Amino acid sequence: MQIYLPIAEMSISGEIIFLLGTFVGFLSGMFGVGGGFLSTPFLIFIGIPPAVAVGTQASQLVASGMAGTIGHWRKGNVDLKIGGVMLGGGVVGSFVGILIFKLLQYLGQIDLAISILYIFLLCSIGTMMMIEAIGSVLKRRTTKDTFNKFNRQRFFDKWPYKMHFPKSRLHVSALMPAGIGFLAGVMSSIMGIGGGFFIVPAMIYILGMSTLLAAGTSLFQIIFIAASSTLMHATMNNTVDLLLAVILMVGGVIGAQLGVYFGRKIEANHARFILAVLVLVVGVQLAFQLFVQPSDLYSTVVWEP
Amino acid sequence: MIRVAPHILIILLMLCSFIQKADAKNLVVDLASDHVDITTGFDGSDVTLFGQTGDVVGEVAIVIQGPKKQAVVRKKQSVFGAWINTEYMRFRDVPLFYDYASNVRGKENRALMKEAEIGLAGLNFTADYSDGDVEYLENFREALIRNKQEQNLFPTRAKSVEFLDEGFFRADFTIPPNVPTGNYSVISYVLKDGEIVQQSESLLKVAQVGLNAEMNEFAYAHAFIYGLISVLIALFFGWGINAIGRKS
Repeated sequence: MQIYLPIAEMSISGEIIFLLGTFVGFLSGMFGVGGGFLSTPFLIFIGIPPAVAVGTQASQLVASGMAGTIGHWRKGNVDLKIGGVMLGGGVVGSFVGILIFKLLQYLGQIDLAISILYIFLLCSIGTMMMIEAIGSVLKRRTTKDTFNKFNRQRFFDKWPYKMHFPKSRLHVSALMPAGIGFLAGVMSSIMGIGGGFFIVPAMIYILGMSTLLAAGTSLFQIIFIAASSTLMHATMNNTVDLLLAVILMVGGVIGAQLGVYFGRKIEANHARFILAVLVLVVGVQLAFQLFVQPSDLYSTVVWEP
Repeated sequence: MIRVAPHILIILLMLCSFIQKADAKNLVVDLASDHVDITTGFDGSDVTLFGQTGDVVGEVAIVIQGPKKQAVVRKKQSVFGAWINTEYMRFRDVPLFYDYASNVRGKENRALMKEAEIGLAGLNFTADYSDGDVEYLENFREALIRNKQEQNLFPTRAKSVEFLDEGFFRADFTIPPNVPTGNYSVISYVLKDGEIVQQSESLLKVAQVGLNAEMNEFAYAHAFIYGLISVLIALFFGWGINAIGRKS
């Protein structure tokens, strides 16, 4: 069924969008990831303008952040204070991200920037996940703990504006969580992703939070970062397509159920391995597109300064 | 109703031509529908035009053009193996959509084609380019047309003008699903001996209607509230995903 998107101003196959939403929901139900890393490149691939793909994706992040936070909140895995500091940095970051996005669009390099960022992130994260999954299957100790101890204390402990975070039992510079939040905000505005896959490790290894608190708190703050990013995309660029978002989300609700169901049937190590493969495949595919000569070297866009 | 409209038109146009018989006749043209409505299920549309040439029996050309905007053509080059946009050229007055029907035969009058913008070679868009490398400019110009053709926004060849009766003609155009919105001009020409002898302009309004139009208008007129609503809907769906997940 062809559906005309009111903001993207283009006709698109409703089934494909719905299936994409379902698949991304499936991933989040099964692995607990947002899935933005998959849907943004895919939306761009099927012809949605990058600006609309990213703007709409920001609203998806609000939904997946909300869904994840409720669960963690009930189990007491959200540190409000550190989350608050993070989202302070995050709101500034999402504003900066939108300005960078506009600048790149003006220079005609937005597609390139998005694809390079994705290639870099997906390939490095995918490789790390793969190594960890294979490592844990072979019952070897990973390098987590050693990295944690000697790297953190030396450099970051000298930073000013120390704050006490009772829930996480931390006494660190407020600049650290704010900085991580800032990065998350920039990423969500430029790439339409929540960045959980690098924020959570950063919170664990750099801040020194426990894994569960890091996961819960990162989901909590991403709701607000994504919400501010959505608002800015809507007001500054008019690039949030509500119809597109709703179709994706309806698919996501269904997919999440399937994901939770299959997630119980599959071993955690295997699941992580599959996710690593998936992340790598998307990363390599994007790299392939960048390095293979396009069929037409020229491309035309309407110029609206 | 839409099916009936063309037939009524034919009758009306024929009546007009009889009534005007005594006086000098002018070109009469009408669109079967003067608007293309983009609804949620929009999957392209057809636009049919009927016309009656006046006294002069000549050749007919019809030009449909969307709003004119600037366009940027970018060229990729291999930089360390990656294909990256390196050069660009900006063009002014590029119609967002262009199509034409013509039965003009024989030797084409280039100046005339340019004046009336009949055919892709007649399009009057200009490049922001002052270095005299003609081939370089031509590469970008050709790319612009080629890219637009791939997007179905420029034609690959002229549509035909079909004569139903003496002086009475019809032309059919296809509006693709990705058609840009705006006010389109439809200009019909009667040509004789390389001159425009008659012309007539109609307006074709391409716009979103119904719920789609309301959403689009609201998103621009009340951007902040629209953004808030988007966030609230997302929060609701997030809550829904969690609630259903707990039950199962």
